[in-house]
Amino acid sequence: MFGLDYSWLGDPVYQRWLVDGVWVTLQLALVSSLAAVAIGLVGALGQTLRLWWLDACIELFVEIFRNTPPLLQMLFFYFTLTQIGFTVTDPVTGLQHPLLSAFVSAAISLSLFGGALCIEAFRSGLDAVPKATLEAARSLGYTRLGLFRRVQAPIAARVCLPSLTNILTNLFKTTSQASVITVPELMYAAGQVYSDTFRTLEMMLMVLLVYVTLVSLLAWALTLAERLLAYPGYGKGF
Amino acid sequence: MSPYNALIGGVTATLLLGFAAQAQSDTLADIRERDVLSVGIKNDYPPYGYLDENNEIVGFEIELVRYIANELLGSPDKVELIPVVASNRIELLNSGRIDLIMATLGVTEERAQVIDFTEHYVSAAGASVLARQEARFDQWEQLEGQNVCGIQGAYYNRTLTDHYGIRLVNFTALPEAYRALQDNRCVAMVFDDMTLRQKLGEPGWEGYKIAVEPYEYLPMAGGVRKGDEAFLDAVNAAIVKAEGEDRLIDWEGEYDMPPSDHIAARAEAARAVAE
Amino acid sequence: MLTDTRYQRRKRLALLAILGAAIAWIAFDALLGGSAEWARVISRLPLLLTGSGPAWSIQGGFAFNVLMGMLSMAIATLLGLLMGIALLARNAWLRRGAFMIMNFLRNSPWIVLLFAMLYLLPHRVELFGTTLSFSPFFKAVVGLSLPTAANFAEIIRGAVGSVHSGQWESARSLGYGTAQIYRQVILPQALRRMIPGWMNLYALLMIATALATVTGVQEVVTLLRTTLAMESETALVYFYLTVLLMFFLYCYPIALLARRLENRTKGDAI
Repeated sequence: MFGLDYSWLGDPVYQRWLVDGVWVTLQLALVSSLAAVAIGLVGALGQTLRLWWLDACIELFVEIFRNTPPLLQMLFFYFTLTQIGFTVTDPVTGLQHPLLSAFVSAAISLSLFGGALCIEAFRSGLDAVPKATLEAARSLGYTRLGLFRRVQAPIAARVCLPSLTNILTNLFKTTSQASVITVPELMYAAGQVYSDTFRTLEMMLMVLLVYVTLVSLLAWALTLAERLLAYPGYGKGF
Repeated sequence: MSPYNALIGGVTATLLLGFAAQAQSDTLADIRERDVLSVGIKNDYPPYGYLDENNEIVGFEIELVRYIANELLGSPDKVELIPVVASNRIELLNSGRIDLIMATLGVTEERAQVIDFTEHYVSAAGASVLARQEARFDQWEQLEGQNVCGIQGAYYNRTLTDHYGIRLVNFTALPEAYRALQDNRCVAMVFDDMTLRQKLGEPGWEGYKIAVEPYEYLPMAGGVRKGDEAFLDAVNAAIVKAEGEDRLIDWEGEYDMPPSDHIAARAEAARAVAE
Repeated sequence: MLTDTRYQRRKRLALLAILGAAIAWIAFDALLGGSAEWARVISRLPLLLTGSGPAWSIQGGFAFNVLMGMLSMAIATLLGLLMGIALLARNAWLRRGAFMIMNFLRNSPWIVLLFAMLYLLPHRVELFGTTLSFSPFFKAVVGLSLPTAANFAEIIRGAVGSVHSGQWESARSLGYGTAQIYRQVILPQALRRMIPGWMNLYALLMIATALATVTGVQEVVTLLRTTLAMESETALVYFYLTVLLMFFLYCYPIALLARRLENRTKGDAI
């Protein structure tokens, strides 16, 4: 159809490259999503402590990672960290080896990028809990910790679920940029194949379809979670 | 949104996107009409094409490109230099973005199926392996299962991974591959023999050697679209003329390339034909 | 506990202190030999900013990123508006179609869309006797504007949806028609809420222009990677920091302004 030629898909070598690529993409997405959420939680909780110096540091972190290209961040982590001393010395040969592999560099930079977005989202979730609700709970005799655990956190979590869905799907899509630093994920595998077969357009359309399918599945699962967890009046449907 | 909806949307959009048009025409007439020749060149690949101190693109192939432009259009400046990388140059040619590839293009059978080659103006050795002085391997087979830095889109990649079982870590750009080798991300780096030998002469590369010799020799040539006869003939005539005038030998000297028997022999041959 | 204004003042002081410390550290490093590396960066700066070596004409570099960002945003605003209107249409087929296209574009990675556009769009088209030429730059602009348009459509939908449904009912009970309600009640409020989202989207797009490096456009990241071939290893960090700073200095003020506007519209009646 349309003069597209997919005969190369029959080659077992290419099949293996592509399937391995999808697998690495999934691993990278999972690792960096978990780390991003963890960073987001620590950062947002850190901000609730209302320590001005900590708050300043967190804000700086968020703004730096939100306002620079993730691609450059990855290149930076991959190439310059070894330059400024992030190396291990092999005891046998005495050679300095990079501490961070391509995969780890990509995972760290994606986690930090996603983490910065998560801090923002979680913070606005916590802010969105109405003051009156907190006052009411306090007058019922909740301690500060109890108030946070039983009232503020559950409401905030539901408020920020939609933006979390956005961030995690965004992060999944951003994993494709790790191909630039040779992480053998789907996009990299695609490059390997099309530079061999010269069927660039066919390859890119296929990759596009695979990503859209995976990201749509992720978005669908997260939206389902939103719906299951929804409190009336919070999260979905206001 | 359900995954079903998204999938249907995806398929529809992909199919809609699938209508691509190709423009196929007579390049020679076309460049004369536009009065400029678009050439895909390297800008990160000394001595063939690279940025000098003034941020200008210069090099052996750039000289040849300008010579060809002068022959075809009457001025060495009627040329648009488009930096390309190994993985996108053939696509750019066939999509019509560039008229000619002069970007260290090795002549292979696979490529000959999608493009036509010009005269083979350089005979470079194929890939060799650059590694630290201490490296103990000197055979391709010994690299099996090892991480070796390389370049995406190089013609030998499949042979190396499939035949020799080397784990290639492929970069899109050459500088990044060098960097990764120096950072010890790979035990070695595989690339065109001559470029690697030239790299050895640069400061900072004293601790390295060519560990494994090339397993084949390969001519380099320009690339044009398939069936573009008039243009191919004109480019070939220009290349042969440059060879006959010993210009390629001059450029060899100018860009510190080791004298090559191939280029000298071709210069002789070009003169013999002319007489 | 500190009062809010005093807290904010202290926080701002802390930020300034960190900035000061960073500048001091750079100055200290420059004294220790970093100044030679900075000299390398400065000699390459014209190239990184404009893509041309000695002459200050725009052939690429960061100027290309800015240009790509603006052009893509213009196209995306137009396309997004059309898509957003279609999303709110009463015709179910139109709505569903727009929704699917939007989701497809929103769920595809920018880098893959860019690649796909590079190979999908023809290089030249004959149209009514004239030849239109699609340069990689133009293809990158198209590739970037598609996901941006989809995101803008979603912003429009969200802004219109955020206007409380009670307003619809009260306007209708006052005898307003649908077009009238949109024009006089919904849109004035929705527009105000759209603007911060639109600005954030622009900042996001600007950041994404770095991806055009994969399509071979001579924008700043491409030139950075090329330049580094000619530079020593020790200069690497300095070059990366310079380009990261370019993006930060361009995008941060936009994000800041967007947040100000957002906070101002937050107080609006919902």
